[in-house]
Amino acid sequence: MYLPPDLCDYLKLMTISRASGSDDRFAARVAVLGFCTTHYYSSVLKGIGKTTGFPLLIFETPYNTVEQSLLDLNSELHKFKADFFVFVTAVQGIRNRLMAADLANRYAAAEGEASRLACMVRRAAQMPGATVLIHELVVPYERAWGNLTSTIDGSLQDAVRRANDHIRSVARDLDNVYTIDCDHIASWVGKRLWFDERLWHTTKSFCHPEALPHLAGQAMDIFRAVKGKGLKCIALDLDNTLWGGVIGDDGLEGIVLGETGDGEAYVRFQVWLKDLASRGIILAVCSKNDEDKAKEPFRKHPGMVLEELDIACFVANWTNKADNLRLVASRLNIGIDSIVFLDDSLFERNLVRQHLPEVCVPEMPEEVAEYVPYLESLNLFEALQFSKEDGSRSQFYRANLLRDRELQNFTDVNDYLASLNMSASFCRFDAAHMPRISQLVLRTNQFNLTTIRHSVSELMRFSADENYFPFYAELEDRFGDNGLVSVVIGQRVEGRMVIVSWLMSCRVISRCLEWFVLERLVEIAHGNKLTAIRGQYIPTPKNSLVANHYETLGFRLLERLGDGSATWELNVAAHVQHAYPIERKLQL
Amino acid sequence: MSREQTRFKLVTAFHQVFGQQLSLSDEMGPDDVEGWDSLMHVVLITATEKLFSVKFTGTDMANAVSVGELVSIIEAKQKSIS
Repeated sequence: MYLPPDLCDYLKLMTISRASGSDDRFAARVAVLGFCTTHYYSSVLKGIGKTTGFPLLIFETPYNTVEQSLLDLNSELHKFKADFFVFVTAVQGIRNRLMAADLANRYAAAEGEASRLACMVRRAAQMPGATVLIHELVVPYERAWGNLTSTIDGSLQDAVRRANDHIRSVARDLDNVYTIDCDHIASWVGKRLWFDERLWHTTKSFCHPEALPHLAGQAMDIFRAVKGKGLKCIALDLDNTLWGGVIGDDGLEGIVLGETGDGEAYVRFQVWLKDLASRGIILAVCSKNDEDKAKEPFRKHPGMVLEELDIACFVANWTNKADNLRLVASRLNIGIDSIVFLDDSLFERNLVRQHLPEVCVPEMPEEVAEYVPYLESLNLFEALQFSKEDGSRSQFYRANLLRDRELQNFTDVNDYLASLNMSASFCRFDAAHMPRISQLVLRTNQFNLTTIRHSVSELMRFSADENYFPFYAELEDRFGDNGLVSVVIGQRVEGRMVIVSWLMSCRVISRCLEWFVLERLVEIAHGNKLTAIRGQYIPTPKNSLVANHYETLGFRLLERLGDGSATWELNVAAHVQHAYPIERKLQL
Repeated sequence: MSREQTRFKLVTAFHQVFGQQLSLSDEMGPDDVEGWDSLMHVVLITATEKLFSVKFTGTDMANAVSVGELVSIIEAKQKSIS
């Protein structure tokens, strides 16, 4: 979570949280369940929400009443109907009990503590629409055996790590539970600061308040990711960002990049970027340069870690960067608010902030060697799951670049599409593909007819219910496998099929895949003796792309409401198949 | 630093914590400052510690329930540093 440096201060955030403001539109309702004092934590969290345009309504369970509040169906906690439950743990509260157990029984004691917590977590996770976050325990600093401690089974540290393993296994098993790696946060800010024993003794504060902005930011990152507001793309400046110096002035031999000094720092930054790309973050270039000059280091400089094909969208010209970022967003088919813009120039950063307030524009450190630690501290790319598609996203974009080059050889787009040799499969939901299905459902904004964010448990329910027709499509062509790129969920209602959700990844827009999906839906309707297919378009600020989707596919308008939403219907018997250049791949 | 100077500098901590620019006097305590309750007392102490680069003990924290006490404790800590 990027916060301007002057706001990364618990006193400022607490003040902001107290300031009255228009609190009637909350982005999320958050229940904070603490085994310690949570007042300071909640206050900082609320402050972060306010400053980042994600206002939170927070409810705290009274001190030491987590278990009762969860068990009592009439408790204030139940009435609150939280979107998010945050379990705030304090290792200080259990370490005496763990240490009281002798070495042989420490694991059992740690397991006992973890199981108790797991019980509460499961209970919260069952509440309708709930997402649960658990603070993992911070590994304590006591080392009874000195440096040998790390090798001792049953040391306090070992026991706490065991408890954390248990908590993480609960999160792995439940699809709406996530953990926050508090030991990492404590190490980052320093355990000497985190463990302020005075504050624990006097007020049961689990950490020094200076650690709170960084900690509470993690919860906010998960909230945003769950609500589909995560960042997807890094737009990079080149001169003095990816390398030292100015390629246009200094030339290939003059730029700083390589083995020594600052050159090493730029290499390190590029390695960091490449690693993010390999886990699915899209890289783009947004540079004021002549394109040929800008690409020269990518093609010829031995110190470059990033290659031209790592950059999904390369924009180098003399237009202002705000317009160029709009261009990047439209070329990649992603929301402008899913871009983070990295540029060493304060002028460019401010220009983008002013014209595109939706873009995340972190301050950049003066010192190049600080780029990676600083950006890492922001935790910009929180991931809820990691799917096969994430790992190969950079390949998808690479293949798309090759497709674009290919397109330039054609004058007729149909000839081009035919030349791609596309084939697609169409399958009912299965468990193996659930992470990717969920990810598409949560993150697709543009090609999304209803933008209903079904939870994984709902998606599983659809797949087990014969009155639902939940399908996904995978698309392949001669440039590569695009993976699972479309999801459609039909429901049997009074002899018709009603399309609850229909969405498609922006990577494969304009490839006729929707025609392929429609034919499959018609087949299913036939097979189930459904006479019509009914679809709805619900407008959002981002899905105007599909406003005419059903009309294009030959549906007839049934009703249009004042808010722009519309219901369309297709008569299955009267439907005539439209040609599309995609072959059906049958699953074996 | 004189008691007056310390008290004057302490205004910054009160402002950071309670959001008000107060003119402080030794007798002032939790009843005289809006928001100075037991929860915010801890925040006042941590803000004061940072401002003056001193560290309060648990006992200091319990004793520092008036501006005068706060000033005295800060003075004592700073003497022991210098």
